[in-house]
Amino acid sequence: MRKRYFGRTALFIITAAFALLFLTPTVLTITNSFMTQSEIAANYGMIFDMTRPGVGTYVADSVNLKLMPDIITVDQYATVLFRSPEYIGMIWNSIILVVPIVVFQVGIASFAAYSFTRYRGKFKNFLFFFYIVLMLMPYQVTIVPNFLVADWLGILGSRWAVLFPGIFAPFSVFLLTKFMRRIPTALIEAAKLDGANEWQIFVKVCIPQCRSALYSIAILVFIDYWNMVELPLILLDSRDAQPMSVFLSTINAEEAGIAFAVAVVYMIPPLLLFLHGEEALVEGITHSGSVKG
Amino acid sequence: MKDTVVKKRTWAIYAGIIFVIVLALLTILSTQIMNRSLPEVATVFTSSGTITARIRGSGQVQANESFEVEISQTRTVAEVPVRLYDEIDIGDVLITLVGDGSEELEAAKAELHSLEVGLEVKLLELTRPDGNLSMANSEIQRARSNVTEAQIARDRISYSVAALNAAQTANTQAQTALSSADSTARDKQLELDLAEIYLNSLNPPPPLGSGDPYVYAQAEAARNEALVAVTLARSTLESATAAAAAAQTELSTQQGNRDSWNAANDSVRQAQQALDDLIRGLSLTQAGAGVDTALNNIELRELKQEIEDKKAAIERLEQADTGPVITSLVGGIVTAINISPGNQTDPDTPLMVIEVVDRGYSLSFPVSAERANRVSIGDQANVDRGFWGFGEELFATLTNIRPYPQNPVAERLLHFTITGDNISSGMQLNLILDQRTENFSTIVPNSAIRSDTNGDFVLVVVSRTGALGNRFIATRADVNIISSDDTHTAVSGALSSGDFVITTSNAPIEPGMQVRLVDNP
Repeated sequence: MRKRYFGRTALFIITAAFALLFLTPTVLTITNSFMTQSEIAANYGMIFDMTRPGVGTYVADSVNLKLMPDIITVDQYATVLFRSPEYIGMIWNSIILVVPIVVFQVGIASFAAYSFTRYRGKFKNFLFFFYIVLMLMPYQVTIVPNFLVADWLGILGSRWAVLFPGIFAPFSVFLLTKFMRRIPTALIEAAKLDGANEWQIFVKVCIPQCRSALYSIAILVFIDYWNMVELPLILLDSRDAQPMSVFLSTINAEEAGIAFAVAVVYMIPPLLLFLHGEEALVEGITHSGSVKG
Repeated sequence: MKDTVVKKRTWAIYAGIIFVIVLALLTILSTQIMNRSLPEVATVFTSSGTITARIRGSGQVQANESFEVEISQTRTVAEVPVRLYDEIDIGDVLITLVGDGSEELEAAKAELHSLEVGLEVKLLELTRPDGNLSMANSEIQRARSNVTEAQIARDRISYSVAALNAAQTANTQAQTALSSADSTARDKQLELDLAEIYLNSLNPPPPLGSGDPYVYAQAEAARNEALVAVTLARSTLESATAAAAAAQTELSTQQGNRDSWNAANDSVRQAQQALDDLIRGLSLTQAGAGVDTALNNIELRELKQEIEDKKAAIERLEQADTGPVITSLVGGIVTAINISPGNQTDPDTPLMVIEVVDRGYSLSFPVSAERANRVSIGDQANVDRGFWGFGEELFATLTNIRPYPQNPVAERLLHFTITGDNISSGMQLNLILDQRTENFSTIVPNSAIRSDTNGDFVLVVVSRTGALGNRFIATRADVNIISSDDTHTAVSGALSSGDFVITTSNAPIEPGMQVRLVDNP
């Protein structure tokens, strides 16, 4: 008994420590968003001098992680929300890019998954295997073909250059296919016997059964594309069309304070989405075959 | 549990909706706030047109000829009867001076007098007899007498080397003879002593002894012979001793004569040395006196030359002397008086400046070389005297275009002749010279032209379309000014017809700043 108690306590401490470690960047972002620009430059200015030596002179000669601001101010939020509409414009750019990607990717993936599940063709397995290979490829491999195709289609520099690769991603297809294969065949046969056509089977039988998977895919895709940087950075040449994730990846010393406030605002939508679909996400990941249960 | 999950899902949905609504509201609100904070600018678009360029310039009217009243000598001013801006004629008295001559003349005369006195003194000094030479001659005579007396004293001493040598020889011989006699005497004595001893050693013959009478007789004879020899030797020794003594005495005498003679000879030598020194000194003195004479002659010559030069200078000063008054050599207007009664004149400073009215008036100002190329000699310029320019009509004619001394490459000096009534030097005039009317492809308002260290430029409004609407950015366009008039400027450069240039703004603007248009808030 004592052993189990001791073991549990130790495990709790270890996990708590790891949790604190993982939470530290988020907590730092939130607390530092209430710092003044001068305080941020004093504490973190040396980071930017390391990347561009000799550019500036900073008060502190080493980076200082501060959890508590010396003076709590909302000036950064005021700048982001009230004085500089370009930051809000970048958030809108993110929404404009991510929402269609999520909606259409989920929709097209559901169609593709239904096809992979229901139809037995000669090259189905080969095609599915091809999808898996594509899914496993890192984005660094596919970015150049994406660029070339976008240029060939004449959409390079426009939002379509980012939307198309996002909409037609293979990961959702793979996940949804795995989930749809778990739908009992009896349900589909029963629906057929009731006179349902393929579309009705798809809409009225498969989609409701895959709701949790659809939720989880939507959430995962949203989070994935909400944080995308490379695609818009390479495929969008206009700074006005780039999402906030690109700005957050290219901040300089003068924008560090604003970046903290922007990051806090920027993390709200995925946070809300996660809170909304937490159970569905867990259920979807579980029943997609990742965890047996 | 399910209720909790449903509540949480509902809450998250509501929060998401609120977030989107707030984001939309903030988008509008922040755009409005930002736009309100942007500087407001007025713009016009560039166009083509004509410009009648005008060259505007201003300057002070100056007389074409000015006469400076100068004096080359220092005089004290007694009175200045003229006033500033008086009109005078040739011969009018300008300045009355104190005394008849200048300070330079008086000083020169004083110097001449001192030079002449110096010359007379020098001449007197050269004729004075030299006492030093007489004294030297007397000393030489005395020295000669000393030498003669020393010689006589020396010659009185009977000394000869031969006599000394003979005395030395005689002495040596006498000593030798003495020594020999002494030795002989000793020997003889010894023989005698031996003979005595032998004799005494013998027994005497009978009756006294029993000795051999022959041997005793021989011994006795030997003793007697020895005795005689000793006696003879002693006599010889005495003679030798006496001879040696005499020789020694003679030698001493001769040696004494020799010493005396040497001392006397030394005296003669010393006296002779002294005489030689005196003679040499006299020679040097005589030689120095010759150099002195030459130097004196040179000094005299220089003195005389100085006197001549001084006389010539005095003559020049007297010729240049203005006398008790300074009169005007020209007619005109007195524009500057640099002297006042009681002060001394300065040869480097003009006393007065008289503007010669008969030569006319002119005005000059610099313009760029490009603008100067658009005018030609003979062009008439309008004279703008400002608010006070009533009544008098003045005319300005461009008479000369020459490089501007301070910037001969890029600028030209336009020289105008001013004619008309009531012109005076110092008058400030503004001239407007119209250039030829020309057509230009790009004309902007004068207020659009800006300049900095990199040159002239205009700010062009560039429109950028974004998700939040149009944004207007002020962009720099470097231009070169070709021509301008009162309202517009023709330019060339990074500007094309149809560009919107910023003319005015309600806040300072820098290139790259976002602005808002007055017609489009």
